[in-house]
Amino acid sequence: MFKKVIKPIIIFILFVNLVLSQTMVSASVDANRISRNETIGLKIVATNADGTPSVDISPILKDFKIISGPAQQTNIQWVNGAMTSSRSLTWTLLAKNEGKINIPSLNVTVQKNVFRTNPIGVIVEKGAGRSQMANLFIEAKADKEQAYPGEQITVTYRLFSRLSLSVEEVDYPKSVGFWTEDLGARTVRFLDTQINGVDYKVATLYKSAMFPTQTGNLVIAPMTAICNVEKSSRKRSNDPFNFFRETQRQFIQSDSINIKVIKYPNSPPTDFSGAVGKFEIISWVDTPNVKINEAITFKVKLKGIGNFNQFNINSIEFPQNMEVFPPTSSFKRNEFRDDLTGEQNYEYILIPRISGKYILKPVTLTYFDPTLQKFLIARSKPLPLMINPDNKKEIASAKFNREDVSLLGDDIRHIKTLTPSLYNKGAKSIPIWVWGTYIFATTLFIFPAVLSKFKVNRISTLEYRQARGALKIALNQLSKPATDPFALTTLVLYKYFQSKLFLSSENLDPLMIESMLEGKITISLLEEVVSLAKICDAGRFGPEANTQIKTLQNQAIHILKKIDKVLS
Amino acid sequence: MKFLTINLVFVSLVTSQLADSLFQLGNYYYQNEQYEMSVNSFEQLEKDYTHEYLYLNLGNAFYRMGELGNAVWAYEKAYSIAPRDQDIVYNLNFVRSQVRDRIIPPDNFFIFSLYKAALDKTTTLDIIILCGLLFIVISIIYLMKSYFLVSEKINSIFNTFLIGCLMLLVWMSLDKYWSFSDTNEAIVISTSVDVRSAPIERGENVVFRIHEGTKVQITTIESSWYEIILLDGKKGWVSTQNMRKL
Repeated sequence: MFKKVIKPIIIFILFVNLVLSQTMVSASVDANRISRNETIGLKIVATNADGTPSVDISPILKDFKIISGPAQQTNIQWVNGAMTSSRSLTWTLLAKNEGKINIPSLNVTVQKNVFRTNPIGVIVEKGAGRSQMANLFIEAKADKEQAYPGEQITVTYRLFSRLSLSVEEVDYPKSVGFWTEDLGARTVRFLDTQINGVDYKVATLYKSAMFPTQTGNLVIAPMTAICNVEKSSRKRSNDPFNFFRETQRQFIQSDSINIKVIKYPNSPPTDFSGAVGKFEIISWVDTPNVKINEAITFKVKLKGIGNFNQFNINSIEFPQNMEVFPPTSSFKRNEFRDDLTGEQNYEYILIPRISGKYILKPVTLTYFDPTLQKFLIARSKPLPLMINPDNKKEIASAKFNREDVSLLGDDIRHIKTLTPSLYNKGAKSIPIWVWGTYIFATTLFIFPAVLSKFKVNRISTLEYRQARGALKIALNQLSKPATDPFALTTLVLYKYFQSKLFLSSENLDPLMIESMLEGKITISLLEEVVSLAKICDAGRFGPEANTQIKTLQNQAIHILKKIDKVLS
Repeated sequence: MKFLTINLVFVSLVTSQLADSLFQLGNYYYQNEQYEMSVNSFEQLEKDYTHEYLYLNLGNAFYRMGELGNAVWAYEKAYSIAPRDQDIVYNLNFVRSQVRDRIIPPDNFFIFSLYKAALDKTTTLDIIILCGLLFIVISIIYLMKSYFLVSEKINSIFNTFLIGCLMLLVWMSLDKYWSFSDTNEAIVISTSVDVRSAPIERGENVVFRIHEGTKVQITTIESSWYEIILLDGKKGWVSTQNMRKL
């Protein structure tokens, strides 16, 4: 057991030592752009070399003249308990010709091992060459020049310096048309580097993930910084600790970067809310088997790379009889990645109100994948839930109040099962009874006028109507048996003539009847009428006519019929 | 001629029985949770026939299928036929509450709101019936006045009031008629629809987005595009395939 653990550790330590103690050789110049009259310093450094390196300098003598050197220098550094040593040889050279000169790869021998340095290009000009080289600048670099809206562009601002300096103030850029996420690196830490064979100190000032929010040509703003640069003093200072150096404030600015933000290749789906990158959705519940009114925690995890915080997952459709509380959400970023990577967690509390089997539908997110250049849908798996009934009655639970009961009924009302009397489209007309109301109302309106007219008409035609109906009334009265036939016959006879002949007076006698009827009826009929009237009068006022009492009414009927026929 | 009449009566009976059978079939599928089949039956019936309960059942089937926009469309149709049916009003309000867009119309003077609510809750037939009944009341009062059963003063008060009501009802019926003939409304049936500034599909001309179930008013129709206006006055163009006309 002990051997099993120790052995790999020892091997690992030896390997690390081997790597760290490996001898490395490099060559550098102090400037790669010089004038014809300027000297150039060539430095060859052997790291972790036990002995002094020997260099075959002959290949450069064709183009350069050695002014001085080699000057030897040994450096020993202890970093985290590990020792690093370096030995350097420095020559001061003067170029023989103008133009582009190449310092070729040189053979460096360290303890019988031969190493080759890197070749270095040097430009020798007529004018001032070294002064054109920047000693201090900020480089702004984007990982891409073209992007889709919402696609990450990583922008790095690095400070390059060949001077001894300290950064006093940094003005972080604020670009329009981007949503920016800070990727850290706000503490300035210098490292050694080379640009075209020239030694520089470099420090990452700022790194950010930028997400375009609109299409078109956008500009990433430049970064500005104020540095305190140490320079050699021209004057001698009285300060013994000044060592003839002075500090100068210097303002530097990076270039701006142009980014072309292009449209998506296809028109986005309607449920696309702006997610760009690569995403994955996982969802789960703490327990799939609960009783009604017991809480279930439904968790959704969205993980991937992309513009988190700039979109929402598609709305989740929960079952109808489930109370859902507003979710809590949190975002956890992976700090060790340049891409904005992390996971967004949502947590819902669900309370089922009705027992039964349920399925929580998949949670989906529509996003654009810039590498595949198409829209994709990330979706979680559907989750089955089993809600068991409580031992107590579901609705009559003591936990419920009136409001809870009303929540249970939150669904549409059922269909109508009885077949209605369907009617053809456009065939529905106004029912006849509706028209009836209008006819009835109109009738009521005109009724008083009609009635009034009718009444007037009746009054004006009363006498004619009486004359027309006189015989009928007379015959009707005469056909009835009477206690006093003479009186009745007299009354009927006079009434008839009164109506028929439009007489106003009621006091008629046989003579008056004779005078009225004269010329209108035949003489014999007139005599019969007069005779009958006289008999009636005699009967009314004396006992002489008693012999005719039985036939009197029939006789009257007979005569009246004949007279009416003539008068009509 | 007699043969033709008998034939027509027979055909009418057969088609009416077929319609009833289709309605029952739709209900059968619904009760057996075969909502798509249920929708097919009701939709087939809806081509030729109409009834508030046909639209109510169709709306229920659409809702169970998860097609909120079509459900709103069907309930709106049912509501236009029977605006006081409690079940229709409930279901319509229920699905309206699930529509994502909340469009707040501008505030009207309360009398106009009252008038609009009254107009909304009545059909043309209701107004015609009310007019008839009012006409009868006016006639009775006139009759009573003719026979001196009511005083001249009471008669004039009643007449002024009732004739005012009658004129209002006549105006309402005209308003209904105009709204039927002039207004063109539609419901969004797609999950969400981009409303554009012009009848062209371009990325940059999206002015706003509306969602399934939202009711819009169509102002112009141009090939496969509708120009729509929302209740709050927002205006734009949408593709016809995302809409269903009421």
